[in-house]
Amino acid sequence: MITFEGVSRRFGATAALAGIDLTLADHELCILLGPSGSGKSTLLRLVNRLLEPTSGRILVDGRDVRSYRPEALRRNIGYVIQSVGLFPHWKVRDNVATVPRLLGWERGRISARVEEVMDLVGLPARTFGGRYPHELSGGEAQRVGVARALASDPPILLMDEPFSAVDPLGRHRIQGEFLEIQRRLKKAVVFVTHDVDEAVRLGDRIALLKEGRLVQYDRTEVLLEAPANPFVGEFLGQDRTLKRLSRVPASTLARAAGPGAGALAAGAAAALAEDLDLRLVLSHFLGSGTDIVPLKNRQERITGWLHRRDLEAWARSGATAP
Amino acid sequence: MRPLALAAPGSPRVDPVLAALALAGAGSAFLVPFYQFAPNRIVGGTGWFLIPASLPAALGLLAGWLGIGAFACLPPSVRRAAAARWAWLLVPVPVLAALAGAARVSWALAGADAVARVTLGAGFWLTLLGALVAGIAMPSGILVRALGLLPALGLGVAGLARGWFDALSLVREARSLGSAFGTEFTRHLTLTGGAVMAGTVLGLALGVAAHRSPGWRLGGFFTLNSLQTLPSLALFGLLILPLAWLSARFPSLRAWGIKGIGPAPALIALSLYATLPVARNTLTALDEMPQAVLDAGRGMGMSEWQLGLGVVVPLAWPAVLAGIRIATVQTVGNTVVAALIGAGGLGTFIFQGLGQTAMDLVLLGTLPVVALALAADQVLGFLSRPRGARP
Repeated sequence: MITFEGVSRRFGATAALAGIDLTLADHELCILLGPSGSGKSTLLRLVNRLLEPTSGRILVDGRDVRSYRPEALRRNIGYVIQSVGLFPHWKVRDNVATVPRLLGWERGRISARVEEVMDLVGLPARTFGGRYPHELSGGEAQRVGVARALASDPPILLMDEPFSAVDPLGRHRIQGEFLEIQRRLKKAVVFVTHDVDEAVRLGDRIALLKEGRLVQYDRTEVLLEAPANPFVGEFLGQDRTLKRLSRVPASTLARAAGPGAGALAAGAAAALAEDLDLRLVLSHFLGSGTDIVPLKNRQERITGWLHRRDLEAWARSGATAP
Repeated sequence: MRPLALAAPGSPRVDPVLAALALAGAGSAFLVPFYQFAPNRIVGGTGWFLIPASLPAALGLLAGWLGIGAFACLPPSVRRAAAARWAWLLVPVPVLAALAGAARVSWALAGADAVARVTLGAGFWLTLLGALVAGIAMPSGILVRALGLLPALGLGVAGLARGWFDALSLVREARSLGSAFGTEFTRHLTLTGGAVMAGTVLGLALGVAAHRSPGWRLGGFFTLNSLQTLPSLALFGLLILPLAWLSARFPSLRAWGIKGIGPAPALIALSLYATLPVARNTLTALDEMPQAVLDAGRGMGMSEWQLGLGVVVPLAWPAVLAGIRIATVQTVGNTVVAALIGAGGLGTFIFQGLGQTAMDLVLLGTLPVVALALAADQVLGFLSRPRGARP
């Protein structure tokens, strides 16, 4: 658990952060969202003491971060940055092994862990371990950056716009892969971004900052349904309803009852994957003019039916859980 | 429509540099005098072509150059093959032949006349130059180069020891100098080495200081850049006055050898010259250090020491070493001028030779300087290959 208590930070005459009170839960991915200059990166860098607060304090698991030696604190907190920052003169394998080596792990344990964590990010050490960073694509380098941060299995992960330098297609893919990893590992992730779509896709919770102040902090669904003020609504965009839909898989609104067994065969051809998000299902309804669509699982078996009126009702209801 | 008739990739194309070198080299055996016979030290000599001088040497020279020419005509794919680097062993062959020819001519003259001498002529020097260019143009490796240079070095050393080259004017000059040659050579090395070491320490310190403070960046580099525009002789002259005053004022300094002339002002001036390249490269390396890498290192819990030794030093090292390389090559040459203020070194022979119009004495000073500069450049260039950034 990470707690900010009345945290302010000034740079010369300008206040980058002013009186932030915020508690981030374990095992959740919390997004620090805001326009540039809102202080989100500053807030992140206070956690591992790359910056110190001007006033207030930061607690990790109830203990003031200032009671740790900075190096010791940082070795137990994963850190991923936008420009990756891989050591260019070290092979990928050595880059990933950085923190375990700093922690003084023994050789065998390090190499086993490097293999494990590189498999996790989809870059097998056999193929990629011996390469130098300049031999990697942007997306591969960023995966190595994530692997490096996870190498010592820290409970907390700080990520400062980690995917924003990757091209859009690659970014979407790496976001999906990272979500998978997070669902398995359940780290406490603090994730800075200015990209609303990324925030909505990844965040369990979003803390929205503006000019160094915390504007709203809540579960992502709540933020989308009930913006606290016009700024929040405007920043999240007019398509907030669509964004809400994009977070929910079609299967959550599936009904067992369909239009009758006779239509089943006809429907199978038009079936949509059940893990498709509701936003894309809505797009399907709008495009096809139909009101009902069968859903199929990965084995191409029909698992249920989705009615357009259910989807519209859900979108209007503002219910956080269907 | 038919496509344009372009040469197919990989079709035999002649390497123009090597082919021209081989042609010129082979022609030199007939067209340019290799050695000159002079009745004494001052008088210019009459030329000797290679063919009458020594037929075996001429054949060896032809064989070497024609071999290189044949290599130049091989298909490019063959020339690029790994085994092709062994063809580099052809490069020293013309040099060996020219050396053997010199030994033959010198032997013919030995004992005949103690004053008469053989001067090495245009053909000989062109052969060395051509071999140098061919040696750079042809593919090679460390091992091949070492293997190839060994026989030529061996012949040179053995020939000098056994007196095969005794009638060569260069050897006669060296003999008449006696131990002075060794002394000045050592002095040259000491001056150069000392200045490069001091310049490296100063340059590193200034580079780091300039990276950290804008004041040092402006002031330090302004001073060094201004110094660099001063001709070295002027700087030596400028240092004579204050040092002379200091040694007159504090006699204890004189015991340390610090005087207005001699090694002290030379070492100071040479060190100042050597500082700039090292400082400039250090500053550039530090300025261009990727900030993200440092941020990531810190964020993962590296201490400043670990970051410095593990990341900053290895990343900056190639650039710093390149600076030291420039400083060294430059200092080897600048040290020549130091002879004019009594600091000694190989420049002594050059200026003596110029004064006596004894070109062989000049060469005796010049050749080791050239060799030292080339050797320093090669060795430091080999050491400063960047790690990790190789494909």
